[in-house]
Amino acid sequence: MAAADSCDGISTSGGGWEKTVTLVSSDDARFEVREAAASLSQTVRRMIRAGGDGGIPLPKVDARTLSTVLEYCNKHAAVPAPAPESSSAEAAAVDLEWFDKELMHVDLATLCSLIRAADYLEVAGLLDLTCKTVADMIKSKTAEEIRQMFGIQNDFTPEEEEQLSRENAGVFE
Amino acid sequence: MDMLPSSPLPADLLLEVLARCDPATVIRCAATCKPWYRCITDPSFPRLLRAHTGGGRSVTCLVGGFFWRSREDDRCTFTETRMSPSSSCSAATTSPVAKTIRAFLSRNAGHLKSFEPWTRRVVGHATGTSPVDMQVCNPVTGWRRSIPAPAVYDQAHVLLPGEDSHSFQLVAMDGGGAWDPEIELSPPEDFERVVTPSPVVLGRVAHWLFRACGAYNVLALDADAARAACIDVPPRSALDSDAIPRKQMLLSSTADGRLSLLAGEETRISAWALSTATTTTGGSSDSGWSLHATYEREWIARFVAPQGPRRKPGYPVIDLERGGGGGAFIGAQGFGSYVLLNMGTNEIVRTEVAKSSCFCPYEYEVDLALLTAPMKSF
Repeated sequence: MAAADSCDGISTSGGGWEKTVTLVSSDDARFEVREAAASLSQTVRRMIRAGGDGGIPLPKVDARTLSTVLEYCNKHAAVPAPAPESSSAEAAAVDLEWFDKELMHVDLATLCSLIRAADYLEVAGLLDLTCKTVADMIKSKTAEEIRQMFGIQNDFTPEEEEQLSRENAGVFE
Repeated sequence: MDMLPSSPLPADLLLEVLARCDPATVIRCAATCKPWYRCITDPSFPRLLRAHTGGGRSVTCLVGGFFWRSREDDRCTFTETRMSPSSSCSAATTSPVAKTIRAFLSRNAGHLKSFEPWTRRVVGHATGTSPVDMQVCNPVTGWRRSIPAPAVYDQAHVLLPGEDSHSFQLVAMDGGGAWDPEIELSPPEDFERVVTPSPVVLGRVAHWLFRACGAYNVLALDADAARAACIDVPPRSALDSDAIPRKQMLLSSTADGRLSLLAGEETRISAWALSTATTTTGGSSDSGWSLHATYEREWIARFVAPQGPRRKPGYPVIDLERGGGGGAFIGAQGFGSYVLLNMGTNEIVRTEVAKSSCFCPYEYEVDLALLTAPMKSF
C-alpha cells in the first residue's frame, strides 16, 4: 500500500472515497488526481511509495502535456473490469478505443512532447499509443516528406543518396 | 540518450516509434539524414526490435509469402500471403517489396538453378562459377554473396542468419539423428523421423513436426540457447492425432508470428496456435495450444472442387502441403492448382502453382534487422 503521508486529500468522486495525490508540473501547475489514475505512471507510483509532502514534482513535464497525460490516466484507470465477453466489456473497450483516437488528434510537436512525457513518467500504454500514432503518420511518406514533418536537414551527399536508393530500390519506389 | 540535432525526439524514443513502423518506412526514415541513419543502423535497434517482438518473433514484417519453384521450367515465383481481405485477388495492391522480389526473380531466372529461401533470407544455388556454391541474396536490398552449399537435402536442416547478419548457421541432423556440428544436441529418445525436412522458423527457433511411437510431436530447436525441446501437440481429447495421416497434419505460423498446427479432422481443418510463452520456453505443457480457427471442409471444397451436379458426393481429399508465413498451401485431388489458405484474413486464394509440376514453396519474411544489417555506414 502507498504511504499515507504522500496523499494530499480525500475526495468523493464517483460516490466513493478515493485517495488523491497532487502532481506538480515543470511550470508549477498543480494537478490533483486520483491515486489509482496517477499510479498508471510507474514513476509516480514509485514516488508515492517513497512518500513526501507538498505534491509530487515532475520537472520534465509541462502543464499542457501533463494535463493530457492525466486525461489518459483518468480514463484508463476508470475502466471497470466486468466479466470478459460480456457486452458491457466490449462496449467499454470500444469507448476506450474511441477516447484514445480522439486524444491523439494533435499535431506532431504535441505528440513528441507526449512521447517524452510518457517515457519519463513510464506510462506504458500511452507510450505505445503515441508511438503508434507517430508511426502511422510517417507511414508511406517519402523521405522528403518525413524531413519536412520533422524539420530535418538532408545532410547526405548526392553520391550517398544515389547509393542508398540503389541499395534499397524497392523501398523508394 | 542524446537529443538528435534535428529531431524533436531523443534517439531512443525515435527508435521506439520506428519499432512500430513497417520496414519500408524505416528505410525511408534512414534516408532522411545521417543522424537518423546512424540511429537505425546501430546494433541497438535490432535488439530493441527483438525485445518488442517477444524474443525473436518477427512481427514487423514487410511482406510474408511463399516462393515456389516449378521443376518443369525452374522458374521461381513469389506469392504474397499477407494481403488485405478486400484486395487479395487484385494484382494492383501487391506491396512494393513483393514487386521487387518478383522483378528480382525474373531477372535471375536463369541464374538461380534451384531456389530455397529460408525465413528472413533468400538462398539459391547459382549455376555460374561454381555449381556447388550457394548464392545468398536479399532481393529487397540487392545484397548477395556466395557460400559453399551444404549437402543436407533430405535431412532435417535449417539455415539461420548468424549474429552479425552476414554469416549463417547451418543446423542439420546427420544420419544418426544428431545435430551437427555447430550445436550438439540429441533428439528426443523415441524420435522416428521428421514429417518434412524444412521447418517453420520463428525468429531463431526452428520447429519440425515429427513422429515418435506413431504419434505426432513438435521439435523446437532454439539456435540461440542451443537447446532442443519437445512440444506436445494439442491433447488427444481435442485432437485424435494418432489417427491423422501425414498430409493431414502441418506446422505453420499465424499472421502474428505464433507457431500454428493445422490438423485435418473429419469435417474440418482445425488451426491451433501456440502461446508465445510456450514457444520461447519450449515447455511441454499442452495447455499452450488454443484453437485459432476452424475451416470446414465443405467451405474449402468450394474453392478446390468443381461446382454443380458433376461434383462427387462427400468431401474432396485435401492435402495440407506446406505451411508458414501466416498461411498454408492446400492441394486437393482432382483440382489442378494449389490453393493458399491465408490464416490472417481467413481467405482462400487460388495460386498459379500447378499440381502437375513438382513444386517446393518456401516461406519468406522480410524483417527490419534484415533490411538494415547490410546497409553501409556513412
